[in-house]
Amino acid sequence: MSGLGFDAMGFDTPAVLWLLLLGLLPLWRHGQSVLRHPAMLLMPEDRWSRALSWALRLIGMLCVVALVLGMAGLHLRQSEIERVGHGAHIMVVLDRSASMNDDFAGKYIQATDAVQSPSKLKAAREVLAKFIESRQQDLVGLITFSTSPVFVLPLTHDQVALKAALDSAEAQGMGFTAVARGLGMALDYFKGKPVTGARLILLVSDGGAHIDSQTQDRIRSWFASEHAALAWIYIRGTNSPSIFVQPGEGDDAASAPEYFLHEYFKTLGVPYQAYEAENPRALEAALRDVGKMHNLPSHYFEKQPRRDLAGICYAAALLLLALLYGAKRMEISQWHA
Amino acid sequence: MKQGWRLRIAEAPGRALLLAACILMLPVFLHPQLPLPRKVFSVGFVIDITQSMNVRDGGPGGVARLAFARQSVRDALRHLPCGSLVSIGMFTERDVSMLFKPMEVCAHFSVLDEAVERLDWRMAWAADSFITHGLYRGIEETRKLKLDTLVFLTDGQQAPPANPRYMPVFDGKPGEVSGIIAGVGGLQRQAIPKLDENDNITGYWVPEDAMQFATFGMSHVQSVLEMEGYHGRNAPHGAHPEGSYTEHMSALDEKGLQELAKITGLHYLHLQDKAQLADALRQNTLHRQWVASDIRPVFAGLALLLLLASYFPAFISSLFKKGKP
Repeated sequence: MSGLGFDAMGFDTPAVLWLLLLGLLPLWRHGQSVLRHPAMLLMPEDRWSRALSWALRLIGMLCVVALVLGMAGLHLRQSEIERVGHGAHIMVVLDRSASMNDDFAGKYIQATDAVQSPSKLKAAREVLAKFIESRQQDLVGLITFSTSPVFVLPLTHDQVALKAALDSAEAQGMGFTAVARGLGMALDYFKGKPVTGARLILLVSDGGAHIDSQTQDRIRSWFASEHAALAWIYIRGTNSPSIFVQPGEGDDAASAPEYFLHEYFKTLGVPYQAYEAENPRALEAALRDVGKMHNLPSHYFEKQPRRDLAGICYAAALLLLALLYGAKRMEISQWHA
Repeated sequence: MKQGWRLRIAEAPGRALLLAACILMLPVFLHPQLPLPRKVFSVGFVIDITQSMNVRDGGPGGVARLAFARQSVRDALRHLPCGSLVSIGMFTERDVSMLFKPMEVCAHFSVLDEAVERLDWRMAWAADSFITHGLYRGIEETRKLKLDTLVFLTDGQQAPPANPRYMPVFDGKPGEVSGIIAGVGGLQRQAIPKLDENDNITGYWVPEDAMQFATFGMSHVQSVLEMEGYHGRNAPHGAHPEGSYTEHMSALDEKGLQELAKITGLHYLHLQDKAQLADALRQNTLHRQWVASDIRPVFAGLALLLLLASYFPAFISSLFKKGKP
C-alpha cells in the first residue's frame, strides 16, 4: 500500500461533512438534567466532577464525528500495490482491414457445413480474448489499424475493458493496411516510459504492406531504443502466399509484401518470431507459444479494491453512544437521601 | 402501559433517547440495502477528428478544437456518477467508429480517460467530413450499443461541399436517442492548419487544396444549353459551379448543426468552456435507474438526531409531558 496518506481516503458524499459542525453542540450544552437543591450552593467545586463533565462532552463530540464520517461514506480509495511476477507488457497491434472479414484458407476443423466458417477477424478476436484472459499478470494494450492506426486501449490489467475493446473491433476501411504506422504508434506508446517489464509488440494481421526504406530505418531504431520484441502472427487467408517461402523470380516487395515484410522484421535486431496461422487452432497455438516465450519477470500492479471504513465509524459511534447511555443511567433524577 | 413509556421519557429524556439511538444503530451492521432511484447516464461520446478540428480556436488560449473537445469529454467523464456507462468513438468521412463496448465509468476510468486523451486526427481513415452522414451513423451506433445518449462534438465543417439534393434522410425517430450536439470552435472563419509529426503548424490550407463545390450527383439544370461547360458524367456542375470558394477555411457552422439538432431531436450547445458539457448532460439527459443502495446513513442519521436531541432534555421532556391526559 502506497502510504496511508490523506488522499488515500475518500468520501462518497463529501457534502454530508458539513454536519460535522453539529459536533460543536456538546461544547455549548452539557445535556444533563439540572437538579436544583439549596444545598448545592454549599458544595465545593469538584475537579473530578468537572473533568467527568468535559469527558462526557468530548465523547458526545466524537460520537457526532463518527456518525457523520460514516454517513459521508468514508472509505479507503482503490489502490495499487506493486508486485513482481512473470509476464510481459504486450501491445497488440490488430489488423482490421476489410480482408480480415474473409475466412481462413485452411479447413476450419470444427465447422460443420451448417455453421459458416468464422472470419479471420472474428477468430483472431476470440483467440486473443482467450489469451488475455489466461494471462492475468500481463499488461495488455490494443491498437487497431486499417487505413490508419487507431489507439484503443493503453497497457492495462483491465480485462473487462480489453474484452469490450476486442468485441467492438470490426473490420473497416479498405484493403490497404497501415502496418508501419500501427507499429509506429505502438512503439511511440512505450517511448518515455520506464522499462518495468519485457516489452512485446504482437502484430496480428492477414497481410503485409510495403514499407519504404526510410520508414524501415526509423522503425528499426525505435525498436532498438524501446527494447521491444516483436511477434507477428500472420493469418494466412485464401490464396495468400506463405511468408516463409521465397517468392519466384520477378516478385518484389510490391507483389509479395508479406515475404518481404518478414525478411525486414528479421533485420530489426530485436527478438522476433513469426507464425503462420491458417486456422483458429494454429492461431491459438501461436499465441500460446508467444505467451511461453515472454514469461519474464516483470513488475506489475495489483489493484486493491476500495475498502469501506464507514462500518468502523458506525461501530465507534455505537460504542460511544453506549458509553453516553451508561453515563446517563448513572445520572440521578431525584435527591433521595 | 402507553402512559408508562411517555412518563419515562418525560422523566429521563436523555436516557431514553440514547437507548433509542443505540438500538437504531444495530441494524447498520447488517448492511441494509434498498433499491433507490439514482441518476446514472449511458453515453456515447463521439469526437470529430477531421482536419478542420485542428484549427486553434477551440477554447480559451488558442486551444485546437480537437484538444478542446478531448478536454471537455475528459471533464465530463470525471463528473459522471458511478454506475454510468460510457463508450468513446470518433467521426471522420461518413462513418463513426466506436473504440469499445460501453463500460462502467468508475471502474474503468483510467482506460476511458486515456483513450480520449489519445484520440488524434491521424487516426482518420479518410479526410472527408460528411457531417450529416456522420451524425446519423453516431445515432445508429448509440442505439446499437443500447446507450440512451449521444454526445457528438464537432465543428460542423462539411468537406467536400455536399450536394444538397443528395443528403441522407434521417430514418430514426427524433428524440429516441437523446443527447447533445456540441459545437466546437469559433464563429470567425479561420484557415485550416497543416501539422507536422509534432503537431507544429507547417502551413495552411490554400483554396487549391480544398474542393470548392459539390461534384457529386446529377445536375438540376434541365437544359444543357443553359450551362456552359456541362458534361453529363464528368462535369454535371458546369464550368462555373456555385460555391463559396472559402472551403479551405473553417468556422463553427452553428446554423447547420442547429438544423441537424432539430431533425434528430438532439440539443445543440456551443461549447466554450469545458465544464459546460457535464452540466449540459445533467440537464438534458436525465436517466433514473433503481440501484440497490446503502441505507446505513439513514439509521445513522436518525441516531445522530436522537443524540443531538439528548442535549435538550428539558425540551424533550416538555414535549412528552404535554401529552399527559
